[in-house]
Amino acid sequence: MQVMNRDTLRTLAAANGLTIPEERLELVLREYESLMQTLRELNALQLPAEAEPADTFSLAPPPLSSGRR
Amino acid sequence: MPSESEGDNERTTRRRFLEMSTVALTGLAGASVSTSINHSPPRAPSRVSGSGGSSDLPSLSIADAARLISSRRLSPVELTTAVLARIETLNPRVGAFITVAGEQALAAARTAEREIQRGAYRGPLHGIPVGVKDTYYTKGIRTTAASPVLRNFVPDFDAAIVERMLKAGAILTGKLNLPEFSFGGYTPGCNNPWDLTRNAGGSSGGAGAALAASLVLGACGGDTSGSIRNPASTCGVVGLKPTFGLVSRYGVVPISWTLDHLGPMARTVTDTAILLGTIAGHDPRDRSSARVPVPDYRNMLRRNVRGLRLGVIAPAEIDGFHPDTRDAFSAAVKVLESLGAEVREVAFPARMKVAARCQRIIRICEAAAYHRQFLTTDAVNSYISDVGRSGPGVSRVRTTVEAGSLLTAAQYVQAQRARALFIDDMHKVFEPLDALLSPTMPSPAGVPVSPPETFRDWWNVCGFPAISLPCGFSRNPAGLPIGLQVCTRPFHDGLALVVAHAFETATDWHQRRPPL
Repeated sequence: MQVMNRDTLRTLAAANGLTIPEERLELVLREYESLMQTLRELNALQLPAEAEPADTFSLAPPPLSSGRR
Repeated sequence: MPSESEGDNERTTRRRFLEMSTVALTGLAGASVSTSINHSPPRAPSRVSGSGGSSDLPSLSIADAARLISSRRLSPVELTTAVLARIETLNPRVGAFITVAGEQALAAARTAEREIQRGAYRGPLHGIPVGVKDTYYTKGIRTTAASPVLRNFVPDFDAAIVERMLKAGAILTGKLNLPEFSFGGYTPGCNNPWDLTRNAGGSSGGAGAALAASLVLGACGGDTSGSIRNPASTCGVVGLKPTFGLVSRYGVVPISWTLDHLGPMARTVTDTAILLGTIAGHDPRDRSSARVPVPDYRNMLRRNVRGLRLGVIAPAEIDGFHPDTRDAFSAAVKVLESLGAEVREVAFPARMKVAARCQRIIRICEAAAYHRQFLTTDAVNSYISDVGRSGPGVSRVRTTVEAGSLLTAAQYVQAQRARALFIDDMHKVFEPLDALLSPTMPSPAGVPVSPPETFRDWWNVCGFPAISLPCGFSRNPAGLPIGLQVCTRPFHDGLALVVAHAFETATDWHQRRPPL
């Protein structure tokens, strides 16, 4: 499923503020396609709707004030 | 520069320290012999090297050196001098150090000597020469991450781990080698002391090689996909990836904030426990740092493994591993079983193997975020180039983070959702277990195999602790170390050390030294 080529990659990179030199496009394209393959494999997991990301943060309560008002 | 009278005092002090050191070393040689159980995995020729330095002092364990130093039978200056001499002799062949901080180390050793002389002994790291991976910020000492991008970076503060080690009196001898920005399991220019034609592994390859070659007594590395355990196994030393949050990440060049773990490496499990006890603990400067008490890990090592429930990775899961690795692993399991542990086979649910792939997406997305500061400036031209180059030693950092920069936020979050699933599943795997065993690496150094899973980066995904320790040597090729990985529940790092220590005490793999 080839959806990205050198031109679209260059455009996507530019939209993200990056300039990828001509001689590097093929290398980056191959890496990008490989990452997309990994994502397709992950998508096959069909995560339950209630699944939250692992890096959701929590807060600790502030320490109780010891001073008098 | 000390005054003349101070210099005389120093010489006198050192003489007094040194008068006892030969006697002490002779005594230790007998004391270090442990009971061995021979379950017949292949063995390398036993040999203690001494050609790299003027003495065997650099080969001492931290625990033995500390015993001598605390009783004033060994001077930190003498120990550090011997270590620096060995580094000077062997580092050109081993390539473990990027930067040697010889003058600073000697100055610190003199300070330690004076402190101990006046009775201000700080503990088991006082006067002990150590090294840290060259991603750790070190005040006034360049921190390059092995990249031309940071070639001139000299931090103005120390990483949290460095702070804690220096406060404990450790002597920082220098900065240890790694692949560019810690990317990969191959450290260019860092040769394996067991076979200098092979690599030391990575990314904490310098730490593994330095320990195996007795160029430091202890070290600290970093582990995002197995980068402490890989070189520990490959170089025949001990390496612990602690529970995520147990050891502060503050002041270390990152790969990935939610996968990076920093931890100790040493030649024995006891030394690893000493180092962990020094560097563990809450640090508000690290947002992931856990507020948990730090137990006395060294004291915990008195416990045995009788009755512990040990999961053993099922043979089918490691089908593609090297036969010598599988044999050494089977023999290691038998050792622990003979010590009274209850052993049961473990196979992982299929969906865990898929969910574990989130590691790659998370790692690369987070790395891309960090590297944006370089990708969008002239610094981008300083990365090591991979254009027209291939092979294990070629850095692909720039390509990886450029591609990672093009993934979407939703894709990153999906990977973190898969990670949560994986963590939940791993907790279920551990319900009937106290610890889980597997080979650390699928093969000895540089021997090509292609198993579907290596079970190393899984512990970075879930954050559970994992330690690697020597469990044998290969037959073909001959004489390369093989590592055993012991994993436990979060914050049960002490239990991982207990299992590792029981195995180490029953075997002698950790006493072998490479033929340098």
